[in-house]
Amino acid sequence: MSDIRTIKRKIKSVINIQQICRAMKMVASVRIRNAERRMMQSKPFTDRYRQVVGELMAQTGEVYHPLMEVRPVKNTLLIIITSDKGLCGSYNSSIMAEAVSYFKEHAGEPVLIKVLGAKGLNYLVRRHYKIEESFKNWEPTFELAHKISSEIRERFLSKKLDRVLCLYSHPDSTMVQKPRLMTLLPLVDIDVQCNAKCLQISFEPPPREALGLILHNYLDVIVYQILLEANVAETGARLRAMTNATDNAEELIDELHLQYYRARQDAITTEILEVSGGAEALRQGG
Amino acid sequence: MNKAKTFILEIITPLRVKFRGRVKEVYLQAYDGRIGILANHSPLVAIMRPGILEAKSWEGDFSLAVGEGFIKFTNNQATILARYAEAPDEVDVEAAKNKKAELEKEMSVKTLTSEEWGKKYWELQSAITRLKVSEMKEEKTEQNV
Repeated sequence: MSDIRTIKRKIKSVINIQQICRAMKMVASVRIRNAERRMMQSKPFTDRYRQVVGELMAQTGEVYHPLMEVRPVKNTLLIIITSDKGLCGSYNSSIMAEAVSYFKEHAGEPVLIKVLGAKGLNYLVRRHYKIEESFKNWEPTFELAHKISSEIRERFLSKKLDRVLCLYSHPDSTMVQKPRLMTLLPLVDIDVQCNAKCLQISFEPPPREALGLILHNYLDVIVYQILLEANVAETGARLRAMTNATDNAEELIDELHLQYYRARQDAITTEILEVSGGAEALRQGG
Repeated sequence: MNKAKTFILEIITPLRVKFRGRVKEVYLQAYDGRIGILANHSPLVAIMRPGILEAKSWEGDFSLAVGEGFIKFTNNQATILARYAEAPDEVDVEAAKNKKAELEKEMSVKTLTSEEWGKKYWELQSAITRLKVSEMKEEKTEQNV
């Protein structure tokens, strides 16, 4: 039966696919360790930065900065962070679903779009969204964060933008990612905490200027942390997708093997029947 | 070790916690000039320019090329948050040299606004500092030989 050969060929190709998936799973599991390490290593920096900014604002009583100005929203910029490569399950599609639902909710407002990652770019271009700027083959580096944040900062300060949002996937754990919409500008999430001891701090340059400079760079720090988190989420999604794919392939192979044995048994049975039938016919004839 | 004369210094960059420990003195490039900090300094917040940071501790001295950032000194504890902090053997000399040449060329153009020029000036300083710090390593190794 030719069926046997087809099944055999199928088994071979599934095994091949499984091997590829397994290799990608291995790669992803190494990458995620690196990505998580990077995220953890930069955490002291971001945490401390946030804390210091809050403390300083409390201690100086200086709680206003142009970057914190809340204005009626006319122009919004949405930064969408996706991956450059596929084979990471529903990672990109869940982000894009979130983006599309945002666009639907805010249909009347002008929303400018920036995209990181080829996947998100292709998705939006296919659906005729206007994209202001896109980054392909992005790496989560501080330089990239600085580039993005200094541009949006300038445009926010010159009042060309009233609000900047960022849509990215946040790693809740290694295996679980959830899209998250975060407000980058105006800066709203600074908690001004007053220490019991309000110290007499000397500033160089004077408080207003110094705090201004510190807040100025605060955005870089936030964006950098987001890039790192998005990177962890992407790798995590890929790891999960590839683990599932490997397991599925395993199941498929088992099933195909069963089919193969059955087909082979069928063939043997038919052959025996033919032989014994033939023998019977010969005996009766003779 | 006389603890009263030391303070805790933390140097944190986006990449990692570069240093955490007790030191006797630290010198760095602040907003309008070099400053030195000893233990029991009065509370201070200073913006840092790219420059060389020198720290002296009982275990030994070290120098780092540090980027923009700021230092906060309160309760005998100094926290430095900087864009980067590189030890002499961590500096990418080639990249710094290229950057320096590139910036010098760009800055020779006279059409720059003062703001642009200022920005480039500090970038140039950052490249120069890195080179200076990387030379410190060579001096040291020569002395060792």
